[in-house]
Amino acid sequence: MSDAEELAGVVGDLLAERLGPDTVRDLGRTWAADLWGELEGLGMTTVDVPERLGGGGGTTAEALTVVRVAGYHNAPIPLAESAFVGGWLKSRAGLPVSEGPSGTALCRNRSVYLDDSDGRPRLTGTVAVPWGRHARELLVVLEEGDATQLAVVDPAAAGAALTWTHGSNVAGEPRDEVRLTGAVCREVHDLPGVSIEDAHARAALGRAALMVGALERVVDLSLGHVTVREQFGRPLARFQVIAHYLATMTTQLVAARASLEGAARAAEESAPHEVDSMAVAAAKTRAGASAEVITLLGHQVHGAIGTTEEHELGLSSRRLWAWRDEDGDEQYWSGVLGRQLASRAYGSGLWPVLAPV
Amino acid sequence: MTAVKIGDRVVIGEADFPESARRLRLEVRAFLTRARADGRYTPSCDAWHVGFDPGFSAELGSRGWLGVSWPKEAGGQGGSALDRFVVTEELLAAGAPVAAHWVSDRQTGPALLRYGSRKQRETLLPEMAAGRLFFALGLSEPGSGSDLASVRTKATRCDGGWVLQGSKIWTSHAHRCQFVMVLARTSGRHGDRHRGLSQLIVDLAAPGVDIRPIRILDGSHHFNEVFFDDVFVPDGMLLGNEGEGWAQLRAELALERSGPERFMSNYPLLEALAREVAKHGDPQAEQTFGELMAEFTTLRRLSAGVAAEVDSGRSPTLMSALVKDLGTQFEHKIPDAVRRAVPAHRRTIETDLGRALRDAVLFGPGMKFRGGTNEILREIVAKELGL
Repeated sequence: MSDAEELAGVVGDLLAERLGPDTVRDLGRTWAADLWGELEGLGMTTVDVPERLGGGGGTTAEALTVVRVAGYHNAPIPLAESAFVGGWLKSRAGLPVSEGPSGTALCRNRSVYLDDSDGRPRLTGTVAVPWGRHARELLVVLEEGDATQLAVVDPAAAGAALTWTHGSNVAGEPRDEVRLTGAVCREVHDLPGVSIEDAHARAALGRAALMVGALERVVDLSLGHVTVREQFGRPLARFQVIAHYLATMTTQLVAARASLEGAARAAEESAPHEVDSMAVAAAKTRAGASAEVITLLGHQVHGAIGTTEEHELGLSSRRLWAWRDEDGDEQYWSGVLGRQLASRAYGSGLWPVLAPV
Repeated sequence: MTAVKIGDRVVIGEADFPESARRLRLEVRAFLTRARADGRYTPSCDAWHVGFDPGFSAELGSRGWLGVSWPKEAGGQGGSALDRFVVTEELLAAGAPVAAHWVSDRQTGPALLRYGSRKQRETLLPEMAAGRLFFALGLSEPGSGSDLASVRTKATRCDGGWVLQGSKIWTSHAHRCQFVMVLARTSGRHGDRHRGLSQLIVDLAAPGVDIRPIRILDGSHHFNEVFFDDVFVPDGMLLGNEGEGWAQLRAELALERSGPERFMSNYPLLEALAREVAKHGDPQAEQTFGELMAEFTTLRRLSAGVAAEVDSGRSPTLMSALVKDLGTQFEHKIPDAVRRAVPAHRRTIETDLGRALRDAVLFGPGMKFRGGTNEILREIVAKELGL
């Protein structure tokens, strides 16, 4: 058994115990603070942070495994946003791990301005921060000329300089926006070798892992349902068309999972903890394509019961509908992939790019 | 929580290409680049099925690129399934004419290695690996379609062998191959389904064999109907034991299904599309190309993973059925995606893109049923899931 599989087992068992469908629903738009603390204590929120910074020193693939399992269990915690993206940003800036989730904000299009004129760096602008209301610190990624910077804001200290607007995605997860009015930064660091596009790709990779977990859950729920539910005197699974739906769903799941694993591997191969934006683009595109088919067929085999708030299918399908649009949808990432591949293939041909030696 | 977890049943093999595969890739790629530059062939879609060129196959054979994973005494290279994977994907990516040896290299050879008599292995395999001896597949029959177990072709015992009576259809390149592997009833009755079936190695030049062409949509001739009128098949030409044909075939089909030819038949069209996208930089075309590439890289990974599983001694039935279902749907949707991405005036028949598109459209309908229809593949996946 690989380290990643072992990790999946440990985290999966814990989440299964803590998060029944009722718990996830009851938590609604808030979050599982205790669970976050528990996972933090186990080192599950800092899996691939280097040991010298207080992390587990694991691989990107291992960190993604934890995120995927969290997606499977609809975990109401910012594991992708805080742990997988925030933790990575901090370690790239050389910052040690700290307690509590961080909120990450990628300021593309210079939506936030850094004023460092009096030696006390301050931020002004408006930016989206998923799970922002629960964040112990804000990690704001900015582009300054050719460089990328990480500004850390302590929400408790910034006080009135932050104005929050609470929002949520279609799954009811917190999707907040914050207006910074000269908010004082605790610290500002360079992010060497990281572009804002890299950070965006890292976020998309975490999102794809959440999606693959949720896809797996919908397929499992559907497989369970069609073997138990009877219609016309036989289990649904005995109808050929239903069996074919499940075959198609499984195929779509396997494709999304394989593409995610490809991106995880590419992240390790390029350099430890790097992002390979083309592999990420493929993984997020593929996860979105699978989400379309799997939510469609998953709801179709469940029938009316699957459309109720009470049924757990909706916990996963709503997340998939939200997540496929977050951190870049299929159109965005397929455009990135198509553009990058075509330009790299120009002259040499496509094949040497796809199968390098 | 449900008791059944799909994730636990699915093994996505992880392909770690060995150093030998990397070297092999470089050699094959260099050869193909030169062959194309010298005008030895023009890349085409579906060339693994339509590009029958015995000279080209013999050249590949002389370089040791056929039967790569067969043992040395069988004329092979003693390589791995991943080594073979690399060679086949290089050939497919180049759109090279490899149809002559494709069936022998992919499935008849491995079947002979597994079930063949010593004599069969010694006389046939080295010639196949040399690219001089080609097999056709005699499976489908006019009345049987996808239901292979319903074959009516019959072999009756006679002095020193069998007498074969019946006919086969959709027999690719029977008019150019030396042998055909025929699935026939050798005992029991027609209704016995898969009991009593055997595979026989039949000489296509034998008296009583009549080969008639079937032309396909583009007017070309690859398919045939082959009639066997009391054809004598010597004892030594039965594959394995009498009555084991069905079991042999099931193992062969797993090999037939998961290879890169199940999503690379239209690869030359993707190359042409890449050039078009780079030249015009149209966002819609970039997206379409990117979507296709997300699918392609996934399939490549899955297919290589199956090869890695084969190398570890497993027979990934579920994964190979699944890869073929996904792969053939993918290659089938490429032409329409290209049509949406590139306006008609930039893909006229005078352009590389237009020519590749024409071939892909005309060969398209066949891609989703050869080697098992997508519907049958879903039956297999569902069965493997326990439904």
